[in-house]
Amino acid sequence: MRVMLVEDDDFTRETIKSALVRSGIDVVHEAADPKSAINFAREGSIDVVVVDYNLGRGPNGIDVAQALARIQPNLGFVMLTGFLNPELIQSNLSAMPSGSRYLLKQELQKIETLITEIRLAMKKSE
Amino acid sequence: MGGEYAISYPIGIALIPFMTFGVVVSEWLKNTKISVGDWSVAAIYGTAFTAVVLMALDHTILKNRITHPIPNNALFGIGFFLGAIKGFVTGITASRVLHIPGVTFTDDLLRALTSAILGMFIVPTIAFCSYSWHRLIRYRKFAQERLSAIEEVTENLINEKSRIVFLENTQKRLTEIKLDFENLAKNQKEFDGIVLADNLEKMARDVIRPLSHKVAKNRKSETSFFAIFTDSLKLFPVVLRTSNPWVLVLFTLFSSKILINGRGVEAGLKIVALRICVLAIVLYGLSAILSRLQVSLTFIILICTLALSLAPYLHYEIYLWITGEKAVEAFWINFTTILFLFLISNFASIFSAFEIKRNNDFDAKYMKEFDQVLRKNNSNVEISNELVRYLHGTLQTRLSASAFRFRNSASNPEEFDFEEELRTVFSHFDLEDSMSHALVQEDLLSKLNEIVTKWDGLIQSTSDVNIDLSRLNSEKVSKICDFVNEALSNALRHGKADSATIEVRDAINDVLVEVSNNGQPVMGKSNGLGSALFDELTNRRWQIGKNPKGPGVRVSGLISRFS
Repeated sequence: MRVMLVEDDDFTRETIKSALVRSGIDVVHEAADPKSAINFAREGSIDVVVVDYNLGRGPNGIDVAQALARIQPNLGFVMLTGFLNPELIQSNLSAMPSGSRYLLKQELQKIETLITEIRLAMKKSE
Repeated sequence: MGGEYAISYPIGIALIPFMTFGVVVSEWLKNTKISVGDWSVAAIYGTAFTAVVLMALDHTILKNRITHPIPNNALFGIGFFLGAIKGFVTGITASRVLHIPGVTFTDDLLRALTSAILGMFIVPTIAFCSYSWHRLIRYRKFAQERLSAIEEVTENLINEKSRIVFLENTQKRLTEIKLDFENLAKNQKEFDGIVLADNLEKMARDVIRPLSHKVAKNRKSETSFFAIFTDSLKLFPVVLRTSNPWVLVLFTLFSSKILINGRGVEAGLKIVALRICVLAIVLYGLSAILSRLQVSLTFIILICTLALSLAPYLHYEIYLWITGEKAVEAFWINFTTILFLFLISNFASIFSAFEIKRNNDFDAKYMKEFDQVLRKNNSNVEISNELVRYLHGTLQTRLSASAFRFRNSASNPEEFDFEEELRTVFSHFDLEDSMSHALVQEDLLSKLNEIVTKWDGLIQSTSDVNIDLSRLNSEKVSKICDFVNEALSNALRHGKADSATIEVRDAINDVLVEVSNNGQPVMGKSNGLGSALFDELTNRRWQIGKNPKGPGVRVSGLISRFS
């Protein structure tokens, strides 16, 4: 299972990456910005993308997911969001590629939670 | 909708007078010589019995509806059943208990049937309203919390002109929170990852929440029924078009029964048809007016009241013209009916609006207040925006990430250095490094370059700025950048574009912003966050259409230099 991580905050990205690697997940690329993610997707092979909704100014996680889905249509997505109530961005959530999974950052207490979502996203992409 | 909100006792209680005395009015219109007292008693018995049956259902078959919601379609069946009971019990009470003359068993069955059909619409509508009302409260509460949090950190905007002093004050508050956590860590004899993680998560949730009793008190006072009700009235211009069909259908059902019973089929249908035409013209005219004007709450209430008074007045005139009778009581019944249906249908439409992506209009209206709070002092707009972004986004995320590390420290105890991790946590609260770039006021060119760079890889953009930059303050720069960012986002999401051109020009007292892309054409302005945001930024002076310089789409807007 090849996972790409898209998160603009260095500390958070490193935290998630090291936890995934320790759990045996192959993190093939970590992207700090949308361009890095897109460039890798054009050349590399990925199964699931873990993407933060909030990527600072410019495109958000949904924009990045849509662009990645155009390059590799079978990608699975897990979106990390900090909204307490994801229904507030419900209309945006529906614009995510079909089969995407959503995970509130506040619920990410154990890495197994994220790994479960990654596996579900991969299943839906197959 | 078939869960917690399937049955709403407050709305049901509010409807009791209507459901009860609607029967009396209906019978009176058929025969003005009826005993109003007897029919009132019969109607009260019918309503009371139905209420008992409803409560019994709620405590037996439907008692698990909160955890195991019933299908939405089942609400139609429940409405049919309860309506039939009400009609039948009212009829039986009238004929067999009170011995009201002229009421036969066939009448009882017909009454039960018509009541069942009405119930079939009313019960789901009540559930719609209850559901939408509670969602309104939840969204509002969340938006209020965000506003309160933002007001908490930006309250110094009113008095502080200096960006640096503003940052220092905010840093002071964050340092207090950091010290609390530091003391907690020091008081532990042995570091407990779980306790530290719990506290960090609490901090991640509360660091931007109201820190003072004053803000907390303000937040409580804003959840009054009146405040919520008036806020939801502001949404009427958004939802009117979808609610109008509901009003017309329900009005047809209510009026048909009463008028056909009272006036016979031919005259009754004639009156109903004319009334529906008049009501449709009034309602759609109202929605056309409110959707085209930027209106205040006062104006919404005023024009709705005028329109909803005009309709029953015209209905009165129609009734007079066809029957020759002046039915003043009918005017007031009509007025009440239309007003009731109007309110209930619009609240039901607010729910539909949420589901059909129009919830962003609601959020955008709160974002408008958000912007007004932030833009009280122009010189600090950008820094407060940056600060809020940092607190809402980066700081919460980092605290959550640190909490995650502490919570999972047991899985790699040899590698986990508690002291080092604590130092990392403390560094999250240091604004100087994180916010240093915000101390420099960037101009339009720098910000546009930043946007172009961020979108690089998704949309290849070029920018062409031909404008007197010295006349732009930070608020205008922010608006231009927000317009461009949203245009690029829409180009990608809706137009599937991969290239765009950004042009910014002077236009006498305005700034003209045009973003062209090579995406698929769109069908005019659509309701969604993009449209609402463009409306806010340009005061509705924007348009979208074919790109005149090539294939694709162009969105352009005028941003005033002075407002």
